[in-house]
Amino acid sequence: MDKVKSKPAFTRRLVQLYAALLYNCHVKGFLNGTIFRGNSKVLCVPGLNCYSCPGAVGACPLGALQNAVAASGQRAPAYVLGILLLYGLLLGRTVCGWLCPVGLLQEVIYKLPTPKIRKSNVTRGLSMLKYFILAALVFAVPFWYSYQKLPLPAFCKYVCPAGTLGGAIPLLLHPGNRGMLNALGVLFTSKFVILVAILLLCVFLFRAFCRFLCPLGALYSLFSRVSVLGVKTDKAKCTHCSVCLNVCKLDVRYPGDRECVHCTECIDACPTGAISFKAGKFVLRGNEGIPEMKAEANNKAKPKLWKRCLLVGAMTLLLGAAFWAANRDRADAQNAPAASENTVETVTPAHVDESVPVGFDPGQRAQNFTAPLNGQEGTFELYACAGRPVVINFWATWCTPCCLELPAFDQIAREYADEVTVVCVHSDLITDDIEEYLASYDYAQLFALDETGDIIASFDGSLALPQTVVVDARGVITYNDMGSMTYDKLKGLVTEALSRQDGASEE
Amino acid sequence: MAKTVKPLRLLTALLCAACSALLIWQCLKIFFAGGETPYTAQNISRALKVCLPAASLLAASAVFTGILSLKYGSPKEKFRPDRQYLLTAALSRAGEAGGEEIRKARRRVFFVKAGGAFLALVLLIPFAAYLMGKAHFETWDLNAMALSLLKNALPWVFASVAALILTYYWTDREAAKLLEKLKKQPKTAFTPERENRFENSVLYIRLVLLLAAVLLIALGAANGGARDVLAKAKAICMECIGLG
Repeated sequence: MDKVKSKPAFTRRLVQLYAALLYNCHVKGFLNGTIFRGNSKVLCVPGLNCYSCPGAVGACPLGALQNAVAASGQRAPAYVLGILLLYGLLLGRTVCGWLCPVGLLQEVIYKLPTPKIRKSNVTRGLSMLKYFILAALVFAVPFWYSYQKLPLPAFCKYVCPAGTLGGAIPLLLHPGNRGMLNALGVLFTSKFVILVAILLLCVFLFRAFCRFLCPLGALYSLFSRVSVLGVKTDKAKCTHCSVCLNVCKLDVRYPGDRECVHCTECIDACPTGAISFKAGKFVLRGNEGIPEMKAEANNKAKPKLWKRCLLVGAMTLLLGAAFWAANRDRADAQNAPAASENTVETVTPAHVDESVPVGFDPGQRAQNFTAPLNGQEGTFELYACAGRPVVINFWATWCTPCCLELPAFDQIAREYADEVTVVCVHSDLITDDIEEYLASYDYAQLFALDETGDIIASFDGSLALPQTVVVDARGVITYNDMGSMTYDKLKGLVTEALSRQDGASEE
Repeated sequence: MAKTVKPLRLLTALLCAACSALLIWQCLKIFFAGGETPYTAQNISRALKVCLPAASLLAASAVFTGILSLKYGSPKEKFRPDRQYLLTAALSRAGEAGGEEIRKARRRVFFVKAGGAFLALVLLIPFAAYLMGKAHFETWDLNAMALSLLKNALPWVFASVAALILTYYWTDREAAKLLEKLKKQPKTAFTPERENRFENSVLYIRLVLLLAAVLLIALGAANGGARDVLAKAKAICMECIGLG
């Protein structure tokens, strides 16, 4: 019996591990402190895996869903809904039990040898909480804020532990991302506390996050009765003896219901063989401990060893191919161009200090660039700003912190209209809604477009928005960092840049 | 040796809780130390150094207890759900094939549960309204905030929880009575017709959903939804990882 029990459990663990490795095969990201920017990220992985994780090669379905709902004012979230519908129909909550890295992590943590909390009606009742989270944080809040043109992925922002554990911590641990520490504040603190609390709960309660909080599990559970793959109960054979309920660690009423993650541990416990793991009408695994099922299994030709080796080999090849594809050298804009390259070939104006080397760090000279203006004719050129400080803000309409800080730049632009130039440069990703967005506001600063991504790359940016750069009158960078800006902080930076200008003119 | 496994498991549990509490405390300490950028590499490494002894103890305890458990066997994991859980599960299954009286009783229990849940939600509205009031959180005086919460908001939470407990108690008693009635009834034969009808309709439902999924994906790819997913996934989501 133990042998029969351990093989399926081992198979499931193997599949979970494969899935986790496949979703996060961009190993270079962990080594370089960057994220993967390949086109495979157009596909959503079935399980919960933050797309800001350095290793992630696919998009997170939950994050993609929230962003799609948040953008529902511009376009219907058909693509993400279609993908989730497909996964739910084909796999249902088999994703939770077999293909989710967060599920694997919870099961591993649960192995810590401590006393455990039994399931009860209370835990069954608490399992409804995830539906509330799905409705409120994944749909209602982003939808509400879409009307205010503020993309707000509420679950990702306020709750999701996968983002903190898989995204924040690996990125922050990298020495090259020290600048990100400056952007940590109340949000990171609250998310870290939530992460630790969830991990602690998982030690005592089996899959606590899955059962009570995961909105993706809630979504997939809606397909429990129609999903193709999964554990099914044959009601004709079931004698309601409840042995399966005693074996199952989750809050199921019967195997295969909305709470079941299809781990197949109940299959061998059923005395009548009523439970099986099916794909449609095909039984993939039944209870081989029962004499009639055993006889049936014996009559089937056992898969030969070479076929099993072939399957394992094929999966390993697939994993290897994914690793190779994700980690090969890519010719994209991930790395900033060398400091000596000029973004725009031009005659350097007299006010620009040519003795300072070109670069992107404070103290180095900013590269000149030209960008087409939004909402008006003409282009913006950095070196043409006639000896006055320039505040450059890199932003995007799909970035909530960026949109929230635009009024601060507007205020600075109005206050220092004669002394400072403020320009907000939009990212090269999703640019078709900029005009519509700006038409709703009357901002005083200039808006330009980084058509190719080279401008932000020349300031060592591109991966995280917003980013603000302050260039003084001599073209030297005095500030370059990512993270949200407040009016007071901006004012301080502008005052400093102006005082440098006054100091230089006195000399 | 086998008898020492249980206290060791308790010790591991306590160490888990202690480690978590220590991590949370250090994080809050850094944040409340103030300053424009409270998190620095030095602060974080100092905090981690404080947590290191507890984490090492936890790791040692976990490994030691795990080895002992493997050798001498761990106490039998009691995943058997409590009696009320089994009652509710059996009742929900029995209702599918039970008599009219059982079905009526189930419906009654359902409406009482729904009413209890609705009452609990209504009682939470003043609590939610309190949380949405920005004026209550303008200062970071934790003592004042805690007192204010205790006085104005928490009584509503207690009332809501009391409503839930009373509902649970009543439905539980009803469930026990129903189960006794059910045991006395002759076993109702499983009705295959209803199940077969469902099995036939599932195939059509799957086909419709599959078609809908394919159409939605195609529509989404055409209207730029796929491009939006790619664009957002290519950039670091600052909010998702808690930056900002």
